[in-house]
Amino acid sequence: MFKDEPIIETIDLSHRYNTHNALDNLNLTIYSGEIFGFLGHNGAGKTTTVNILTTLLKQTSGTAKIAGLDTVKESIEVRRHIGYLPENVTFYNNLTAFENLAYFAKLSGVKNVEAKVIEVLTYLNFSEVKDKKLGGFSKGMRQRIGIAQAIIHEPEILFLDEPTSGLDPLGIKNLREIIIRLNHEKQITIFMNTHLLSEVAKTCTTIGVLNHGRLIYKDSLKNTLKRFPTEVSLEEIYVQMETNGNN
Amino acid sequence: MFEQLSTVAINEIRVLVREKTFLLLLLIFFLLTLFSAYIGWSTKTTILAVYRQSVITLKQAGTANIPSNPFTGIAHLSIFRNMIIYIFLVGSLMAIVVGHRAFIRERKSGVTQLIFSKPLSRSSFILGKILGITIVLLMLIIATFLVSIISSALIPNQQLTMLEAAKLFSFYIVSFLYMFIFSMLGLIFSIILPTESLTLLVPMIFWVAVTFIIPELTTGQNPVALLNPTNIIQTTSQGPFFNFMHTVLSPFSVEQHYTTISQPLLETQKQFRSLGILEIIKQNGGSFLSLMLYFFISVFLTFYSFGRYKVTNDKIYE
Repeated sequence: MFKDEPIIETIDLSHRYNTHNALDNLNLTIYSGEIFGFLGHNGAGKTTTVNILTTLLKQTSGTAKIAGLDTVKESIEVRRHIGYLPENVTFYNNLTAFENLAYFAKLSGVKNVEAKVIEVLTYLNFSEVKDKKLGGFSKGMRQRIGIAQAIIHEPEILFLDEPTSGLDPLGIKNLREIIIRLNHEKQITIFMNTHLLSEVAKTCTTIGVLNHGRLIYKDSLKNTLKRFPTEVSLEEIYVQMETNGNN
Repeated sequence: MFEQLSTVAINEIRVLVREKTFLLLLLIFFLLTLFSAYIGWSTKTTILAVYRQSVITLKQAGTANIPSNPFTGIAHLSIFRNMIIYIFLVGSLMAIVVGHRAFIRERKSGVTQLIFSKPLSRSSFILGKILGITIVLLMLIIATFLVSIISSALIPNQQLTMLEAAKLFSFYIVSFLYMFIFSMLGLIFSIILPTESLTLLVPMIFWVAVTFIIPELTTGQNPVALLNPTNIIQTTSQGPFFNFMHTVLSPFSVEQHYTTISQPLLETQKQFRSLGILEIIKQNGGSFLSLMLYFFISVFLTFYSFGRYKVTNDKIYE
């Protein structure tokens, strides 16, 4: 179903904020069709990585490629291949869901905007909010509109930064289902920063662990669980990796 | 590129016209336009009534040489002279708010992260914003012009000739230039300053400086005198300090450049009545060119500021 080719690639990717080394020679390859869970403690460099991959931030050194395109030299072209849902997604509160989505669709170069917005909202089972202003939306509803704006131009890769943050259990379950559907039905590669190990276990096909800007582990979820047979949960595996990484 | 540019511009207009602050300012501005015409007409009528009453009193007292009516030469357009003050006091303030809101709402909410994850260049975005602001200000100016025309048609004996209507329109175009400069000021500071309160406070300080402090320093007049639309003196003879300040600061007095062109366009004094539009521009070429120069400088600075803006370093959003 998916091509076995790297769709995200970083080579010696580093980034510094003044004196702080946020990313330290990150070498990461993600293949088309994966659901990649990017784990790490607060300040490990996960959001910095996503910011660089989504072209919002220029790295200090190294290279990042999306679908073979350089994120710095070909940033506009890269953005045609990606969708992005930031941690705290916000919109124009005095515009309706339709108006917000139409705006982002036009910016993404979507042709038949009206039909596309309706199609995406229907796909996400959310068409009833089309004419409602976003000002009164809950976090979960905003998150779903956030997904809609991220996939409206049919990207190949979807970046999600802590997508379950602030959601109630039902919201988390709904979001998980959406992510899996997008991956299975629309063949979108998912790159997900998260803290929730339970979500990684239920959603991701591959995991990577970042520790103080360094990638200390990357493998498929299947292999990971095989490799650590004595640990009862993914949480224990993660704690062991973090401990080893710090040592 | 043009499609994205127009998308940003249309979105800017759509969001702005739904904001209560902007709508309130708009209402105030339209009311001031109506009041301007009414106050101008009322003043003219009162003065003429006083003159007529004086003539009766003088005749009853047996005065043989009754002076001719000094106000018969008052131009129709001069009833709008208060608009000069309203533009440089309220119009410029409103323009700052329009420019400020254009970007601060995106920064504050964090929508910039979504916008710049789309295949949109920075120049298209900022050009779209400037286009949106320009359209909003032009719509405002044209609406104000129409309110002025309607109010002059409703006032007895106050109908404008074609030339007078053209002069009034030219005045509003010059007012647009003036307001545009302030809108860019609002936009620039909303891009470069780190906190929301500062992004509004700093352009306000500029507004106070341009509206009151610089004209006061360059003319030596007190602030109340500066609010007289018919009598803003361009040169000063108030001592060496003010003469020096006039020489040094006059080129930077945007407000003075604006009033210098606006007064003849609104025929605030008798000698302006005979002048055509081109003649007025020719006679006040320095002020007209200065306004144009500030217009382009403000656009350039907006581009420059936006080029240095970092989306991910922005901590202003909630």
